[in-house]
Amino acid sequence: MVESNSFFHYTKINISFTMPDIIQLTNVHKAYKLGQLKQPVLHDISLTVCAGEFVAIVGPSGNGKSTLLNLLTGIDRPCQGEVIINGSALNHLREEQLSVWRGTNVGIVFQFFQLLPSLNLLQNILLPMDFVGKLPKPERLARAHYLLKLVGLSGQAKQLPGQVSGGQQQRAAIARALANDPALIIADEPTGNLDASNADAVFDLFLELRNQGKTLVMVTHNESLAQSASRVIALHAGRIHSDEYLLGVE
Amino acid sequence: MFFDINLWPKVSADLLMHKSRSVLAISSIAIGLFIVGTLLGMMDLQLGSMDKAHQQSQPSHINLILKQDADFAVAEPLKNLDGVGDIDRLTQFTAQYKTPKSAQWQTGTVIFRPDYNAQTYDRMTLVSGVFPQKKSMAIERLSARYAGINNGDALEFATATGSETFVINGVLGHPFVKPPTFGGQLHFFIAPELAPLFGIPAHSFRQLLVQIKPPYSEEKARLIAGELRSKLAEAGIGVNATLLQNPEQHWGRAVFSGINLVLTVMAWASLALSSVLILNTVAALITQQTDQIGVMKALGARRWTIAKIYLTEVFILSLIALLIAVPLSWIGAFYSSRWILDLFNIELLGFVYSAKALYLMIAGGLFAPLLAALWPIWTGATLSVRQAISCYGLGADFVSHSFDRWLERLVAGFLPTLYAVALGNLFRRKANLLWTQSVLIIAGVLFIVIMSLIASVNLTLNNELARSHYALRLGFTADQSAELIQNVVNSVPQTTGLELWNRLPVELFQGDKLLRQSGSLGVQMIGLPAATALYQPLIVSGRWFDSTDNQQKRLVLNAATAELNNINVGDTIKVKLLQQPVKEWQVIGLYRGITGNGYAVEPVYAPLNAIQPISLNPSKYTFALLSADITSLDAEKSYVDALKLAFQQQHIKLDFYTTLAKLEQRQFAENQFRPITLMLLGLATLIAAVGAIGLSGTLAISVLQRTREIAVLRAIGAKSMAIFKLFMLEGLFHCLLAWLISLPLAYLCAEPLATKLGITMLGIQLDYVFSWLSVILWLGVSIILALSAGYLPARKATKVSVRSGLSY
Repeated sequence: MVESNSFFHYTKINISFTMPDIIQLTNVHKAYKLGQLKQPVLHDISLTVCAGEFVAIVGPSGNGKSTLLNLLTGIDRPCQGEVIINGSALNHLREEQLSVWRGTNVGIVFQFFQLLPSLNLLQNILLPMDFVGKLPKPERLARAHYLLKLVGLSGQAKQLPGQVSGGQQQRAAIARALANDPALIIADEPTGNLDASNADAVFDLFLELRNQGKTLVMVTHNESLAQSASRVIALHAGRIHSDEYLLGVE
Repeated sequence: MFFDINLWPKVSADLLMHKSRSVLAISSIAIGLFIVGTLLGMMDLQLGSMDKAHQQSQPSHINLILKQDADFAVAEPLKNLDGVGDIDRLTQFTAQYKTPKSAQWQTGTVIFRPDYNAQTYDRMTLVSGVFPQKKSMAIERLSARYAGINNGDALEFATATGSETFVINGVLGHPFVKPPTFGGQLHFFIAPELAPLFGIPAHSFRQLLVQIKPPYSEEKARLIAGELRSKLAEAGIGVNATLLQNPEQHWGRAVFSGINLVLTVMAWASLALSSVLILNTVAALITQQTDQIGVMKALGARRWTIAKIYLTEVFILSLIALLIAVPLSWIGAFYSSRWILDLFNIELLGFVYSAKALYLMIAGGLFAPLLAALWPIWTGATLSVRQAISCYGLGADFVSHSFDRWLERLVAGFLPTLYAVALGNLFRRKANLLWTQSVLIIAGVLFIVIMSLIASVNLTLNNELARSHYALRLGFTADQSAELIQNVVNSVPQTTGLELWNRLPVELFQGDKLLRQSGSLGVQMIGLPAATALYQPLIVSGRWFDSTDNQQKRLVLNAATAELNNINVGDTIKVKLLQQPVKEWQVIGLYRGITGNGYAVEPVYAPLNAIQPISLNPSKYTFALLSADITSLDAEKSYVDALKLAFQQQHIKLDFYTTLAKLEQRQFAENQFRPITLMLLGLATLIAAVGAIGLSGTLAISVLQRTREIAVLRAIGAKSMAIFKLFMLEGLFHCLLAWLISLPLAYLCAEPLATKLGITMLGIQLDYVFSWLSVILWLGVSIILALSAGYLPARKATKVSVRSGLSY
């Protein structure tokens, strides 16, 4: 089935996956307290994402995209419902357990890169590996170099974030997200703070990750990036307005 | 005035919403103010009380310590001497006693006055019980407390005929007593009727106390003292020493004038350090609220409006700090004054505070923080809207300097990532680093300097002891013959050597003018064998005696006195000994005195055989210097007791002031310096506490400023322990860096500072030694400071949640 969507122009195909579910959201509600009032942000969201999917979450500002990402990363907790990511029910984990869980299971890419300014790019990538300690020490350095090469920053390993461009910082941030080889990559507006050429480089990197079979969930306003996803979920007023699978279009 | 009621909601919200920051700022100012208030208050109370107590005791202007007991009648005609106001008399001698708790004989000082109810000068006050009468004794206040002796206790005293038990029925305060805690003897008081029991005539005296007719001047007092000595000599009474006292100012002032100068400087330095912390806190507040400033400016706020908000905040914080610090400093000043005054046997009755210190606290406490905060506030207020509201995530305020790149290449690049983050963060905000480091470095340098000062005092005492090859110096109340001394000394087997010295009252002139003296209690000439093997002071210029000086009119003078009078080695000065005509003597050497702030009788050394023919009894001597193989205080005590007993059996009385056992003397000197060094150490501790608060503040601000970064670290898998370690490491790096910088600075500053402090505070030119032990100790203290200062901020950092930190 092929349809046209008024929000983005892309080709939409419903596909059923046989891969295991990596994200399971069941009847999730989220509201924030504003003084005495409760401001609902997400309403009754139920959603499953299979391993290897590349999901773009789209929608106008203030419609719950970032809140949804926060729930997926355990940064926030639902008021109702259940969030199960890669087999872990996040509702039941304490803050400390969530930190450990995130280090192993999720790689996060932020809009403003959020690299530590006093560490060079290589050390920024080593940092999550040091936190988690999954790999033996000598292998961490080799993997950090490998990831830098993957994102095309081998020559900038010893540079501080302040010494490289925004696009290079974001690529380093993606490498950092991949450091512990997480099952899930979550990106919040990864190209939102980049110029066109740098956004393209990051865009290519995400495509490469998609081709490698990584599970990607990304909030974006970038139409091209959204079109390259395998699935687009549109949020509107805190509800899933549409959830559609796309045929990859280059 | 910058206070504007319309800005109150923003001001109160800032202060209340950031409670930990407000508490930090308040404690920073409060601790500085506390130091200022305590030290200035203490000095004010202490000097005021000392002078008041001194004046109340009706101090004698002249105290002539006689060589022998003189009959009351001898003193009567002296009242009529020109310039003499009135006279009083007392006797002080040593005696053996046993307390109920000890079976061993101990040496104490016994005093009696003609009539305790009609004391004229150097009045002893009744603290409890009654003045001594008939067979009841009284004890000195400090002695009673030190030995735990109370009214009603019975003590056994060795008398001329055996021993007798006396009951203590009174406690008296003595205005001029060596505290037993410093190593002084216990002091007892008896009625004159009891004196014959100790072999002393009841109607006799050994100290003549004189006040001259007003107005008082030291020169006038010295002149009259000379005439009094002449009159006494005519009556066949020799004078051992002449003490002069200023009637208005307590004798202990000399000890404190230097200390107080240093403490005043340190008090204001502490307030300056606290203000640096305020600067740091306000700078951080402005950094944190940059976006708010931008918004306020975008809404039409002017620079002065913005500045008023933060100035009001600083003013309120300072006011709260002042309210906290004032009562605490009153308590601090009161109790520290009481402690110090107690050492001088002065009781501080009732709670008092210094109004002068209060005014200074108010002025300093309100203005210093405002002044310190002015620069960061104005910098913030003049930010443009565009600068203020731009925010680009982590490191938006991080400018990569060549130093950061250098640090990354040389050090951080090779460290584990967590250490590299902590090290990078340390150098990230250079202004914060500078202020925090300056506080910690000053504390470190001060600590090492003070410890070097203490080590130098010890070295000086050790060196002085090494120059004294005698074990004991015995001073006799009346000069004794060589043969008798030799016989008694030989009866105590440990003695290995004996030298006999003599002492004569002396007046030194340069031209017609009396020499100005560094010692406040006058000078005396000490005659000792030219080739003495038992003692040699530290000669700073010229030389010490040798056999070529026998019978020559040559002397060795105190270097400080020589400097005061511009006398050099080789110069001749005029010397008047006893009733002899003035003669010219040559200065062949200058020695360094270590008596401490001039409150001592200053010796002028001369060859014994040059002065002996002049003395009243050329075959008799004032001092016996004994050498013996003694290495411990206990052994020394037994030896001294044995000798005292041997002399007592021969009815030879030893003079309490001039009988000195070497090891005991060293302990006394150490004890004497201890309150000063303790005070300095206390001050260094307080400054270290300011440093700790500063560091804690810096780290707490660091947590506030890096909330987003902590959240990112959390988001990429950092456990609480990793976050905790990160901030603890940052604190540790701060302290280690400050320690490293303190080392060369302290090394460079310690010698001139410790030497200057030695002269200013202790009145002695120290043999300097750098205390390497203090370097290690300061490292330990620094680590403890880092751990204690970092703990709370680090804990707080672990509480930052990813969502609140990233605040999507």
